[in-house]
Amino acid sequence: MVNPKNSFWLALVFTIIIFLLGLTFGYFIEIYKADVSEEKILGSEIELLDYSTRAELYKNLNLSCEPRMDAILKNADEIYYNALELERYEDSAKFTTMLLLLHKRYDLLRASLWIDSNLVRKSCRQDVHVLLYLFEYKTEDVELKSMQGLYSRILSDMKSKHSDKIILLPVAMDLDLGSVDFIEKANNVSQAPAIIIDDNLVIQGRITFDELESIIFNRNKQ
Amino acid sequence: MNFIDFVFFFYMFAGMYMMSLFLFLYLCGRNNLFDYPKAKIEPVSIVVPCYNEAAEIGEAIESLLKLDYPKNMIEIIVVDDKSKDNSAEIVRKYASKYKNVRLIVNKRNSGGAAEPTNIGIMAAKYPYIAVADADSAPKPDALMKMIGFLQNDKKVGAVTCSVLAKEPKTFVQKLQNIEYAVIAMTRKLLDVVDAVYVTPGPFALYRKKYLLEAGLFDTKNLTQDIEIVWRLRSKGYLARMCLATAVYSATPKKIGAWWRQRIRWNIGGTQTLIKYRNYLFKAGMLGTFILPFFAFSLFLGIFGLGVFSYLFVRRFIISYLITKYSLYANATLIRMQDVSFSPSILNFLGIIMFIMGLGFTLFYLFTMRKDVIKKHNVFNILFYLIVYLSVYPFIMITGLVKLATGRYSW
Repeated sequence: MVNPKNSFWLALVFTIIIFLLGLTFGYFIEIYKADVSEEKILGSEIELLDYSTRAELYKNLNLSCEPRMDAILKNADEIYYNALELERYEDSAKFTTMLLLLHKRYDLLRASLWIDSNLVRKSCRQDVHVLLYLFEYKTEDVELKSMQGLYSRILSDMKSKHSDKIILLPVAMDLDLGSVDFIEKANNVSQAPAIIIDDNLVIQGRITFDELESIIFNRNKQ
Repeated sequence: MNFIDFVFFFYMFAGMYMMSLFLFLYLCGRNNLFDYPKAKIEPVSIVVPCYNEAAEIGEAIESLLKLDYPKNMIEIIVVDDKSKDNSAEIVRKYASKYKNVRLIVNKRNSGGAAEPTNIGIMAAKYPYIAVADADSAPKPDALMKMIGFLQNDKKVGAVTCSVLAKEPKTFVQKLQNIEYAVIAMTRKLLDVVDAVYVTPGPFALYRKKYLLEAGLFDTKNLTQDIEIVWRLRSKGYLARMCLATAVYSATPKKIGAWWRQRIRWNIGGTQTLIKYRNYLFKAGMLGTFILPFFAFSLFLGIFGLGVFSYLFVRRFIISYLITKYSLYANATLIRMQDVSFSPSILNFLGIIMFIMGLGFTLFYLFTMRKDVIKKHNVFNILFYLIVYLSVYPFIMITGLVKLATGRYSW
């Protein structure tokens, strides 16, 4: 019979085994989620490449720019919703940095899409507006998190109300991406959260939904 | 992984370790849980400290008179701590009717159970002392099943038995009934490794010589029944747990009385911990398990409550600010993505912990089914696990604050 006092060690070994099994299980779940996200981002990248190729073709064939804008809208929406899902996964990630890398990849994809969108918008459809939403991904500051929560709500409301007139591209400012840093500097963005509207107007600080809507849709009319 | 994640993993690990420990202790001791040594009939003095117990003292004396033990081998000493009600009168009537019932009235109200208990012990004629609460009723076989533990091992200085809720009627009492059954089983499992750390007041048996040697009950401690065991253990004596019998003890009917009782227990436990801090890693199981276990539980409870409060307040402030800003900005207040949930490994481990906790509780109740009510309400068990136990860190904090500020009494 086992000496009862060995129970202390046996329990420790048993707990370590159960814990390691649990951690391994959790690790593989995170890997699985990362795989799902990677598959989606790959799909988005392929679509973006397809769009770029088509854009070149349309330009060469001198066809209408309408299909180009449609392609951008579709692609931007897809990336937007996939990224929302990725964010949910990221909140539950404890072990791997894979999801963070995927987030960076999404941000780069969106930055690239932002450049293309503005180009197409200028030459093609000025009634569509491109909103680049810059936020801090890693912040723990309560006030900043709250303000970002507000921006996130206003922007998703705007996207819901004007789905075919808005291209919404959220990009994290603090993930050490050179291209994103360059966009910030070029547009004089000093703090998060910020919205760059159509490559030429930066919105920061407290704002209401109505004010933002008015700025986006009425400023060219004035 | 951030600091908060690490804290959560640490808590999960600590919780799983304790449950695993009890699992292994059960596997080691499962064949002897309800065993008790054969007893010889030897005289026992039963000391009953009493203060304002007019409603219960009669029933308590009756239950002691009904013990399956030769009446000429028992003396019952009720020590009245200057009650304001007619407790003393009731006891006096029993004393006039039964030769082995005695009443001693303390000269002053001491404000606790320790002093009247000590007076009773000093007045006791016999070598074994049973201490019983004035609102408790031991099962008739209690004394006979417990005394053998003292007679068969000279190292044993104290014996306790299962303390169960007496006629639980209110919801709070039913929850305590579950808790008491779980505690009884847990205490028996600790007995497997000589780690019994308390002989609760409702009914416990001691060797008088060891009590005198130890210096009797500490009148300044709010849980003299914990302190005395630690003192006996510090002198090399052991305490045993007899699961084969039980004492039914009155439990607080309302949440307020329950809260005050638990605060008192926690203050007493902390007083004891502070008093015996120098025994850390000394005096056998006292310093290597009981003391670290107490200290660690206190730390985990307080630190956990701190982390929980920080996260809760932070989350609350962020939600409040977002709602305030959203109202100002005329934006949506709640979105689907705000309430959507992606489970993490911590959630899985939490579920495993909960299932283990539920399994243990059900198993304990099943094991104790002879002594506690046979059918437990599932809601009560879940409420006990999820809400009742979660209140303990708040009790710990309140107890510590009262202890630190000196605002406490028995």
